[in-house]
Amino acid sequence: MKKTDILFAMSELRDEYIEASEAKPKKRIKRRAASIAVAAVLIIMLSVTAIAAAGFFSTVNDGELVFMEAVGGYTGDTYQIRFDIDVAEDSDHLLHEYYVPMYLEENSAWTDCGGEAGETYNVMVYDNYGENLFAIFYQYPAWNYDNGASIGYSVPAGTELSETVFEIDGEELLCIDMQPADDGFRGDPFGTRVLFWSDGYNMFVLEARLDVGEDVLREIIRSVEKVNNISEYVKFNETPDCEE
Amino acid sequence: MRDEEIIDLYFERNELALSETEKKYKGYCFSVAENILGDRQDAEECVNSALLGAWNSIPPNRPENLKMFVAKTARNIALNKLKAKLTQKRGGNEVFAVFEELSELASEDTESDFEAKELGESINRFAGELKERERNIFIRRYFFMESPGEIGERYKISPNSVSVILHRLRKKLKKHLEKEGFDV
Repeated sequence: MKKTDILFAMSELRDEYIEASEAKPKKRIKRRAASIAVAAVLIIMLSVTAIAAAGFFSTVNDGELVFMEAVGGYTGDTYQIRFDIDVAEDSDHLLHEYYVPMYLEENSAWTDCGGEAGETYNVMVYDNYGENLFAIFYQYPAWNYDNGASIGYSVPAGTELSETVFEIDGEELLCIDMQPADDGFRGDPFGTRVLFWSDGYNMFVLEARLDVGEDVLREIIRSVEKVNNISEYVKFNETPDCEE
Repeated sequence: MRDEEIIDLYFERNELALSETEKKYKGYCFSVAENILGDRQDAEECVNSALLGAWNSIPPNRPENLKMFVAKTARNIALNKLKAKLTQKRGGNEVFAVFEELSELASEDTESDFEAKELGESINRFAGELKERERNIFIRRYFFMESPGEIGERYKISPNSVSVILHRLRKKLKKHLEKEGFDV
């Protein structure tokens, strides 16, 4: 198949589908009440487990274990964020335990819309309903491809990239800031900050808008903890629900 | 003027058909083409070509939906213009991003032996199986080429949530196409 075939085939979409997509979206009934109840439970759990979560960083990267390399790209630049394969030898292609960020602000939730977990990934989307905090937490096996590469980012040409370290509790996480030339990258004019770390078995990624405060990011990362049943937090092998 | 009346004018070879179509649907077709090309002048040319295309193909065609007929023609003309831009790496970031995303579905950039229509029908079956909201997000991105920011604004979700939903939909589409025998 030629790469442009699908682009052209989209013109064959049914007229009624296209027209329906132009209708004003139905009002969503947010699960706010449920979210607040869950938030309350999570905050209680967080206060109980905060000390236990501290060990989470025991093998976090020291600025070398997780690194970024350019691998070229068709329309912009593609980067692989790789984990040192020697250190990842204990990992395999599947997740055996799941981690969840417990941090929550008032009237916010790790939402069902967009989040999903499976045997090889765990994605959780933070939503504070129109306020300025957007964040996504990812968990992957540290070794999920043959070459140990864990995650790839495709960055449109013109995006300004900077690679730094993000300090948290004496550890340094790989930090990539992406500032689009216009409103290109993921349509977000604010730019994106992506933080990477690992415990040797899992690759963790926290992606957030650039204007999210560093203290908030630290709180989110500190709140990450292992859970016994991931399906209590995010849909497991099931289509995420974006509407009530 | 109602679409049926405009189509009758095409059948009568009355040039008023063109001005009535332009009056009614030029703006819509322009936004479809401009989203793809990111250039007003190129978009304008596409709309003019789409109107000419309508004049040349009606009759014998009698479209059930004139708006979609000219919009899809404009989209295809814009995509053909875009092909050249892609090889020269020129054009709007959003189109590059969409192209890059859809490229994930084609493992090799090779000539294929299926008709574009067959692929289109398969994509329609895929779209038909989606929940309404997912389908709409899919169409806003891959037909209209809107950015995740624009889509997020429409559905009151963050651009990042849109990106995650689209990522999941592409994975599903790839599985669907494989199942239907396409070489992806």
